[in-house]
Amino acid sequence: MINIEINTTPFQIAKQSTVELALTEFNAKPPYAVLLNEQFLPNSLYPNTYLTEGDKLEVISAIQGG
Amino acid sequence: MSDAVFDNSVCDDSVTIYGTKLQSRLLIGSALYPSPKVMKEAIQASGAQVVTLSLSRQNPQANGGQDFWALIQSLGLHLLPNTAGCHTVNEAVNMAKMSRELFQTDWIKLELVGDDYNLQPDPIALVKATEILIKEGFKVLPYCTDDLVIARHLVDLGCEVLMPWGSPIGTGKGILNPYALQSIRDRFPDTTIIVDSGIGKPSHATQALEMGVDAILLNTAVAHANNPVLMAQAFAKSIEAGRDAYLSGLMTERSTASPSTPTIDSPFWHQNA
Repeated sequence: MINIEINTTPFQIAKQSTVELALTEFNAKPPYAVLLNEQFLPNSLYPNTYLTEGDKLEVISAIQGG
Repeated sequence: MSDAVFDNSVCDDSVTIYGTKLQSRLLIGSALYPSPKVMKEAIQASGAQVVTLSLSRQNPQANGGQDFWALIQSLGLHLLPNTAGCHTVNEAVNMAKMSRELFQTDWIKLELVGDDYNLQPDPIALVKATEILIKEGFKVLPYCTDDLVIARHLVDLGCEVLMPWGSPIGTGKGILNPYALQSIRDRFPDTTIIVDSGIGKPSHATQALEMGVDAILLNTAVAHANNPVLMAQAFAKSIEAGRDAYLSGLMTERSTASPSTPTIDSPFWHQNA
């Protein structure tokens, strides 16, 4: 297992996990967009982007705004 | 009386945002309403064709914002995502990219906070982020102050829309510097000018439209009214009134009085009086 963060909360996941798997285990609700280590990650890259120890994933969705 | 006929049928008096023509000159925010139901009713009552929204970290236990998203989609309006809360170029650029993927629009209301006291836009970061985003194919609607030179830089970069403040976000102080706003209007006649913040009451909106501003973006003034639905209607009327006044041509202000009632041959009138 490796330790990462999802939305600032510690999260454990198996080694060699992809972002796509992490999103499933986090139970992310579509539609969403993703930041990996504070950089936008296009959704086309979720299946082949592998997470490493200490990565910070942020799952972002729509809210009210002015 | 002259029988001159005036063309009152201003058929295509639309406002254009990067080629998209809109009949409503009111853009409206989706925040701060007392309930989702009131939000939906107020937005509909406003007649707005553009609604702003933003992004936040998702909490799957709270349904991940899906209810809000479904409600916004049900309105069938153009979406204008913002980059509220961003303080750096990197944050704003990444937020814009997430918004484009999530909301399927190239429009981005670019906000970059320069000071937390009055949420004044950071003009230098704003120009840098605008340059990056335009190169990436975004249609940038920059939230800026009423500084003419910053406006010049943004237009030179390719912005077809400017969103200067009337006064700081959420203050409701109206147009604090009419001269500066008028300068932007006059200097960039082909740019769509939308006053983005500080409008507190319908008369502020009328004033802006009378000056030739193209449109108003509102949120707090409607959402914080005791009756947001009624206030949305009031703003729609005030914006229409201001636009009609601008198109009609305002009279020239004078320093001396001039009677409107004819005085010649009125009772008590004397030629040499």
